[in-house]
Amino acid sequence: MKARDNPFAVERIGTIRYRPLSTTFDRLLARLHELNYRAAIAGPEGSGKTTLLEDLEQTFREKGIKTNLVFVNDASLFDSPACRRLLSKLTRDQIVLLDGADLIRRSDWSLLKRHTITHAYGLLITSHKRGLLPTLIECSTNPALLREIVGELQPQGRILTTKFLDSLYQRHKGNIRACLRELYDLYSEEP
Amino acid sequence: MDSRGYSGGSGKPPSVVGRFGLLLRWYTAGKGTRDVGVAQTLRFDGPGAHGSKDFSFPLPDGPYSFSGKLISLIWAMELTVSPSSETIRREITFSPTGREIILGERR
Repeated sequence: MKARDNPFAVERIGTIRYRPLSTTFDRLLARLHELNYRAAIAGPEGSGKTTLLEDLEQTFREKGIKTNLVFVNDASLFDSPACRRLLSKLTRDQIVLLDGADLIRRSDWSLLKRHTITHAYGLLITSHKRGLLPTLIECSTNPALLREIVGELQPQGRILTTKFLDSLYQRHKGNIRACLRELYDLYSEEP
Repeated sequence: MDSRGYSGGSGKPPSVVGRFGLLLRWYTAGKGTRDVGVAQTLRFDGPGAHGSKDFSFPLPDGPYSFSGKLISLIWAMELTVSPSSETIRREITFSPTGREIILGERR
């Protein structure tokens, strides 16, 4: 199958937005307000942290709040000069959204955390570990969530069984992203 | 080599049309992060609610339209209406043969 036709291509997966399992989006926003817009989205890999961060960024922009979204990962490192550049351009009406806060150097994190108290509207991060900032939400998944997402992405006429999807979920230890990547590979081998 | 076209509007028009922006661009689709590139841009100021415009784009040397299992490269023309930001997109094929190049296909 051509990449462009694959139902699990990145751009199609990108249309699936965050679905809170035990709360609502409005409650999350209320809690974030209580936390003075300084909070962490925690959770294991593939549990929706980045998706939620992107959704919140969109919400902030719709409310007229300026955002500064930074992705930190293996391909996009956030080193000390990058951290200082960010802080030097920061204005008090901006909320910093940092995806992968546990991946930056400890000294950079300390500086960012301290500086944004007085020089930014807020600081919202994602992290695999808890404790960097008060937890806004601990993201989690379940087999039903995977079945729901796959049900929306897979083409008509090809039904992946519940047994298959539950086994996939277990094999990837609840990492939905990894499950969807495996499904991409599965479909890519089809004619 | 260039790409010629006709951009027209009819039916119910947007309430206010400031300008049209026409982009010739490519993007990737598939398993990895999406890459994008803009080859040409055109701007039509004060186009009115009805009418048509001829245009042409000189085509670049590449990249050609192709597809494999992991990645596809897709060319498209994108027309955006300002200030409403309504956008329509038409995919086109850009290759020496006029057909999308299929990676791994035997000739």
